[in-house]
Amino acid sequence: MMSSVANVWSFEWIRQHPVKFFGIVLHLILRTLFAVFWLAAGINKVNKGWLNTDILKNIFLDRLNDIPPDAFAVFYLENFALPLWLVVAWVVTIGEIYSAIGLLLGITTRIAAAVSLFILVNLAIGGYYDASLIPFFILNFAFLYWQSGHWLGFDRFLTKRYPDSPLFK
Amino acid sequence: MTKVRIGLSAVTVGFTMLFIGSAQAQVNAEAFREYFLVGQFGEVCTMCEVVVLCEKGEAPPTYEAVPSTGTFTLYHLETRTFWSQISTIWEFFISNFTTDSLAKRGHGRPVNVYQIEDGNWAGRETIEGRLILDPGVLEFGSANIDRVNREWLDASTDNGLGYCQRLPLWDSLETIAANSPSSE
Repeated sequence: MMSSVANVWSFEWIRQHPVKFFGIVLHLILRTLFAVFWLAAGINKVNKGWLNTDILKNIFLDRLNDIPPDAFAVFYLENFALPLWLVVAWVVTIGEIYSAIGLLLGITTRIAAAVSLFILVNLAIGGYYDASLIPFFILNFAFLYWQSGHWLGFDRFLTKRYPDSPLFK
Repeated sequence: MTKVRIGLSAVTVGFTMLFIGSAQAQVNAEAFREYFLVGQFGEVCTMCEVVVLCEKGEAPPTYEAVPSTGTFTLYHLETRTFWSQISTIWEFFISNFTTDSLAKRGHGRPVNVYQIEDGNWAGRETIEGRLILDPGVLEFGSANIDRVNREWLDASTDNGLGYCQRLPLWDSLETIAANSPSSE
């Protein structure tokens, strides 16, 4: 893993590490796109009434008709998601918006990635899996592994100010 | 300090634009809500399967299961293919800004077609079906289905062949598995 607060934006560093610099820029572009995607998804959920209507409960009930009766997702939906649909709605909506802001601004970046991963895992378990989740999982692991908030984001400054805090690592 | 202020202003403006953009970009599926195979949450989902029965007649049939006798055609819409599923990332993203192009383009997925004549099942034929919202049509090779009135149409002449209905999925798949010659 790269030194946490190396100044990757100095010409000297870029000249010495052109491949790493390309990787960092690519990582940051993907992080931004991922964050915009999550933000749009979170805002859509707010606008569609996830936080104050029973829309998610109806989505879960609708989903039960579409998945094989013997699938684990049925057990998950019936015993966890449906009884706790309002909690799930809040966790997913606020989680998506928090992850989006964290990844977009590079603030508590890795925690934001962990929350994002948690939502993705639950989407998959809940029967909302398809191949489109694969790139999301790969990107999420990349965001967890590298301290990209130290390349670009508020984590860069906050970790200097609060070096012992795990939030900005 | 000035740099920080400029940065914060840019972030604020960016967020405001993003929120406004997203708010305007809601998927408006109201126009398609009553279409055939459109559920309360929109188009047939990527991992969902559907079984449709079409037969001659003047009105949509109302079977509760795959009939054991009679002459009809079954369409088994399978899940979207791997790359088609991957493409939903782009579709979802675009749908936050405009849905027109997606509604016009629709999406494709494998469709198994079963011809049943007087209760006798012919072999399975797999085609690439296309589900379109604007105009509302399901394109299944030589036949189309009007998503507004469920009319079954000849794809080349647009002549009416009959009407269609959606069948309960899991029971229908069991019946297909039990009767289709290709699954023996």
